[in-house]
Amino acid sequence: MVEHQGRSNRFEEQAFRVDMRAAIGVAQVEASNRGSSTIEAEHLLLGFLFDRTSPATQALAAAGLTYETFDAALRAEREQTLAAIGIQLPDPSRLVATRPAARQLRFGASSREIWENGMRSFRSRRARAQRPTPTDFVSAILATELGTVPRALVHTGLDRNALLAALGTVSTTSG
Amino acid sequence: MPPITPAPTGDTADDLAAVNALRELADQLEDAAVERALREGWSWAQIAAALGVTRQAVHKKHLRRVEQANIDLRRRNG
Repeated sequence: MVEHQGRSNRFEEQAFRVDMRAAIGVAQVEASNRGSSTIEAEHLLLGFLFDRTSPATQALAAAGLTYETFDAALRAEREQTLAAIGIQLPDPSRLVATRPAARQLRFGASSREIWENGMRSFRSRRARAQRPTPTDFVSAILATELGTVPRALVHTGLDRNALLAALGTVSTTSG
Repeated sequence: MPPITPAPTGDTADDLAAVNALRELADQLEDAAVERALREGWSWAQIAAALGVTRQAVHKKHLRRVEQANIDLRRRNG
């Protein structure tokens, strides 16, 4: 399939790709389940980590980052962030609500940034591959400087540079 | 000023993150409380008054979402 470089290739339009479809689908459901109105970088990472068979996920698991550890870290980050200003999360039963269909959710600001950074690193690699791989986007997510993802990664106790190095070992053609 | 690279944690970053977390929490609490109010029989106008917004705003934000829930939305004043 020919990719038109001039046309925007945002995550919405990538959902048809076999290697991206599942991760984006999971990201949509994660955002919906967590009561978010947009799909953010942390949801994308959960989406990519959900497939235990992918090369990127396996490399990260070997370095200590899994869906479960990141999920726990996200929860810990939220609790600590709110506790720091005196807010204790209410009982989850008070936050139960009907969610809009997951597929209706839009991609938020942090997703757009991941998209741009992933595309930039793909182009700078002068890769022989026609298009960016999931690994490009997972790297972009882990390389985020500010916001929920790096804050949650602090809670994992893992060294972010070690995680990025683990991803660097993933083949750029298969990953 | 030359550009700086702030750390993701620290007093200022923590407060900014708290704003983000509060917005998320406020949205979730609003979704849940509006739905509970509707199930208890509140009218849209009453929900709007309690929220401090217009009835139109509540409608616009929540109608589509709660239509998918099992709530009788007919014959509801305002």
